[in-house]
Amino acid sequence: MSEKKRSFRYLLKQLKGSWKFIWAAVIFIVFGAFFEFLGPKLIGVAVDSVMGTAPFDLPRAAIDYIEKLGGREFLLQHLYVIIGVFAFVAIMTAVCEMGRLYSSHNLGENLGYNMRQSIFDHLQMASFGYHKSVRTGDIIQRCSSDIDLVRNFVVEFTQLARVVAKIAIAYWFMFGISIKLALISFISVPAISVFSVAFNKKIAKEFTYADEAEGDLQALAQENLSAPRVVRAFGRQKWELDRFGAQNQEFTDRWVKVGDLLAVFWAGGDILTVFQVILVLCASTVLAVKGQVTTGDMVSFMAFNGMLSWPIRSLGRIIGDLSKATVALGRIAEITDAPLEDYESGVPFSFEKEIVFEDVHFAFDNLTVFEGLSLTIKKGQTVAVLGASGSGKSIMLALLCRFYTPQKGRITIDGVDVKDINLKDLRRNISLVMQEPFLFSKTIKENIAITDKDIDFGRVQQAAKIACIHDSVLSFRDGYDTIVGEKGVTLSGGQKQRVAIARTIYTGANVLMFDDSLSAVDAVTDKAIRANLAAHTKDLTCVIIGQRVNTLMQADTIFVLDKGRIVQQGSHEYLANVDGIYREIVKIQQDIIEKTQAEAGEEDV
Amino acid sequence: MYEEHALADKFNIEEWKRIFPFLKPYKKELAWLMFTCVFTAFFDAFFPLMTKYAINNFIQLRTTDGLVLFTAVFVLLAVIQGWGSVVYSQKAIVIEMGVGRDMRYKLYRHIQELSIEYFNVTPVGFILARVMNDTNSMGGMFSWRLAMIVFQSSYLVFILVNMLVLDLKLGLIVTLVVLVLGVITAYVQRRLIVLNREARKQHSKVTAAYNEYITGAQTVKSLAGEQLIMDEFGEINREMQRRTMRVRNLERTFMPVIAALASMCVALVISVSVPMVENMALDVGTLAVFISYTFSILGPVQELCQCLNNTVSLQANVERVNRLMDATVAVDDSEKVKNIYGDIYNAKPHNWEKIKGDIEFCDVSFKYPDSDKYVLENFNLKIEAGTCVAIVGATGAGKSTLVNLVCRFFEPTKGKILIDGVDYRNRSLLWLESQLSYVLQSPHLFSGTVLENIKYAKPDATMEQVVAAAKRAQAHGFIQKLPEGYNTDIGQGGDKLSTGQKQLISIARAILADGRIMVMDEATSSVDTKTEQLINAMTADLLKDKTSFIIAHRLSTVKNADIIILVDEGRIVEMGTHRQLLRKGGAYYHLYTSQWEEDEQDKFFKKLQDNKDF
Repeated sequence: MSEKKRSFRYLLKQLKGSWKFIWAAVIFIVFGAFFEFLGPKLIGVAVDSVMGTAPFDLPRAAIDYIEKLGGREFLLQHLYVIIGVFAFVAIMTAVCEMGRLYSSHNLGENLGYNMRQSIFDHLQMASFGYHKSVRTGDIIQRCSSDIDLVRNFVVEFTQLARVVAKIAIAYWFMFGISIKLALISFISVPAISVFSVAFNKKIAKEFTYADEAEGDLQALAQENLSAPRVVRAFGRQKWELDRFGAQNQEFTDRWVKVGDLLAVFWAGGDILTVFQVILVLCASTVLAVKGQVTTGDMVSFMAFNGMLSWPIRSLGRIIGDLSKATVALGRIAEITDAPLEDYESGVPFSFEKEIVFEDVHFAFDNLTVFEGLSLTIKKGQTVAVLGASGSGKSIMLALLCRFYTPQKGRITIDGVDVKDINLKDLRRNISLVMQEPFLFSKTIKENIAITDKDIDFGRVQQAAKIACIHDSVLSFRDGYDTIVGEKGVTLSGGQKQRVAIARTIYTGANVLMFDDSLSAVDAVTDKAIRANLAAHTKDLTCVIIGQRVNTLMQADTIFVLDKGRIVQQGSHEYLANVDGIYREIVKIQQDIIEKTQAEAGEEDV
Repeated sequence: MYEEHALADKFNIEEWKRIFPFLKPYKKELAWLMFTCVFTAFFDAFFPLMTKYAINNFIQLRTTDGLVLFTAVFVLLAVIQGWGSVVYSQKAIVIEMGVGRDMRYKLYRHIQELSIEYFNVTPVGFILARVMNDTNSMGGMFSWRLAMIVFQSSYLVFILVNMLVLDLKLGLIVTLVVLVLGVITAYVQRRLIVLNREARKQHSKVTAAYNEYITGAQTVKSLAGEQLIMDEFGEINREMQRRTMRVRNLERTFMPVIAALASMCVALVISVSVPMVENMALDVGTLAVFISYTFSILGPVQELCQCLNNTVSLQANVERVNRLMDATVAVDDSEKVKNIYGDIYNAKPHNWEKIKGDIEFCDVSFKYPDSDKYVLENFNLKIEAGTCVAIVGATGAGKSTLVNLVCRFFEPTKGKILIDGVDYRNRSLLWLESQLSYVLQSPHLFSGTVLENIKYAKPDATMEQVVAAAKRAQAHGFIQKLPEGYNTDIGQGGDKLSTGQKQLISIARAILADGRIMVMDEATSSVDTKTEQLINAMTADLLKDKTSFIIAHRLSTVKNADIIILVDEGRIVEMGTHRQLLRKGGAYYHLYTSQWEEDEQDKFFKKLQDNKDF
């Protein structure tokens, strides 16, 4: 229930600004239906009272006006009046139809726009943890096909209103002409609707089977097409073809079965419609002969009948679509449950002295990561964190940018808890470079200046120079306008890392965190980048995470992380000379070099 | 979006002609379909005449004599027409599905023959769309849409002829209006296609943006760049709304104009006919028929124009299907070879030589077909049967090239590759494929049971052989624990198993194949540590007595290989034995020591933790 409520509330919110279109649509629908059916009614009147001599079957005021003009004789003499009336009705019908379409199209497109934007914005502002936990493909499907489904349905829903209005107004006219005939013709409305709904239900099962067969065939083809190497390496092309052939046949048979059912049902619908025509025709003939209705009435009725058969038959389909749209709406609305991040509140970022982790406890999916992590990073320092893979080094950085919040303990910058600092400000000033950075399918220039609307090309180049990527960029044919990714140049791992570094430099952050993000950069470049950083950024504070002692040893302070806490800290010179993990690791490294040399020295067998 | 080639906008009958052979088997059904179309259209056009009859013969004469018979005839006609429409729909679905099935099968057959090269440059989604969607739309084209065109046009002709016969003057007026309608509709529909295409393009931009920014959301967060991204999306989103509205606006202004034209046509008919009725030149029944016809003429005109235009826009699908059919088989056997060895669908294994496993690269130069850069130039290497060759390097460095050439997924651009001293192009593809045991980086399994997947390598293997292979691959243990053992269904792509389990099964598959040439393509890079250790431990056993190629990222697994080849940026950087390369002190040396360091360090930390735990 609450899920339905959520969906409904979400939809209401997205309809903001669209209500005027809804009301307009309703008004146009009602008037449109009125004018649409006024046509046949007037034809009947023309047949009876202009061509024939019966009295006008019109409201009093209209009859008075016609009499004042000169009655039937006048109309016969001045045919343009009749043409004029019909043209007026036709144009009014057209105007109302245009108005209706204008309103419902605007409604649909506004809703589509609002839903796309709201979901996109929500996803952008959703927490880091949420993005880690969802499957991208699933979310993207919701954003494209589900949104389209809901939008189309809301437009369709105005169709439902239209069908109802049409039926109501048509019968209003019809009852006005002849109660008996109207009743006879009305019998068919429930009959055809029930038939249509029953048909949709019955066919639904067969449709599901056929859909499944189609899904299986698609999956089979996809499996084959994604593994051409396996198929070829084992020489199984013939077997694959036979397998496909069998499923292809199954798929075909299923749909032919659905088609056969549909054929019967469609024909049934057609016959019902014709039967209604026959019924009304015969009944009106009998009534006309008895003098209870006129020829004109009969002509009008036949026209009404024809105009109603489509709206009645479409009822079943619209009702069927309703359930599909409800499911889709639910899936979209679910996204809005994701918690949002707050970029507005909080005190401004200020970092003059130190960053302190105080007794931080953090567990991730019941897996303890930190149990009392405490450390201090002084402004202007370069610190390194050494630890086993999976020891939570990356999470430490994530905690500092507040991608996650510690369960116990706190992280402060100059004594202020990071929880109280404005989040946007915090992330702009503390920048994280990931090991496998994500670059956008844009130009290199745009990638570096991704946080800036008005790109300062000078600063882009400077950032690129500091990150030692400037020369590589210039070597591309389009330089900084080279597009990265699928549609453009594929960058190597090291190049990607350097562009990502340039990107963080561009933001002007003065705390940079490298999550093993120089791993794909060679040693010489690595050194050069760090020298550049030190030279160009005043009071730069760096946090480096790495696997190898080589990359960490130049740091001012090295923290050794083990079992969720810091077990050693100090400079390389200090740590290398005291008992402990660090010295062991340095020893391992030296051992390996010796061992390798020994291996190399052995004679080839 | 991937686009193979620019598609023509004009209708090109030559492209369509290639589809016609698929219709041949359905000649009879097509004839029935056409017949029932014309037949039901005739009835639809005929029914208003019944109204005329009722007005003129019952109402005007004020009698109900014969009404029962009249009703009976009408009902009978309705039932006959109902039968017609049942036949119509049934024939249509048979043709639709039949043509679709035959085209799919033929395309699929062709695809199985295509070389790896085609799959390297063509996204799976693109091929899949040809196989599934385009064949479906062709089927739909030659059944429902064709029927619709025949039905609507014959209905239109019947109505117009009827009107002209009933009253020439009135008939001509209506015909004229229909012509005007047709011209307007045709123009607008064409314009709509263009606008729709633009809207769809923007739609795929929106989807691409979703894709990109959801995948990159974490990066955006780390830079606090959300606002800018949201604004950017807002613009794309707004443009999408604008373009869709453009389509809708045109549809909108066009539809009521048509409706108004039709209604005014009715008005015209009435105003012309009123004096005629007055002068007894026209009976009321005929007038009613005219009114009814004029009302129902609008639908067919619109429908017909839409059908014809959609047919033109199907041109693109036809061309794409044809281009796929035209895709050449880059690596194919010559006719001479096919005659002796058979092709992939009709192999002649009795003519196949036994393979020993000597492989020799003779002056091989090679570049990938989609690039101008040679990755191998005048490469010579003699690999004796039973030798183990390791190819190492970073991800994306081009380690697969040599294996691609050996497996003949690609052929040398220049030079030749000898297997057992003979250019492998002088023997058939399937002959070579029958001698390969291949383990891929990501284990591709197929829907079906464990047994079927292992037997994929050798369909006629006995259960004993399968179990033996599974045992050697260390897979037997967990397979037995599955709910139905070897007969357990593993789901689509083997999704019910872990990646590690899938990889062990794919190794069992390769063992069962028992080829003389074994390839391990980063077999451990996607599996968990435990499986990785298992695989590393069994590798030596697997490669025994075989000519083998190991592609690896971790060097510790390959140091015993007879030849180690280090690849970077597509090119061979260093080549030799482990010791030779270490002594050289180059790239291999650095890679080796740094990986070793990481390993040892991790081991050390692990030991540390274990010690503290106990």
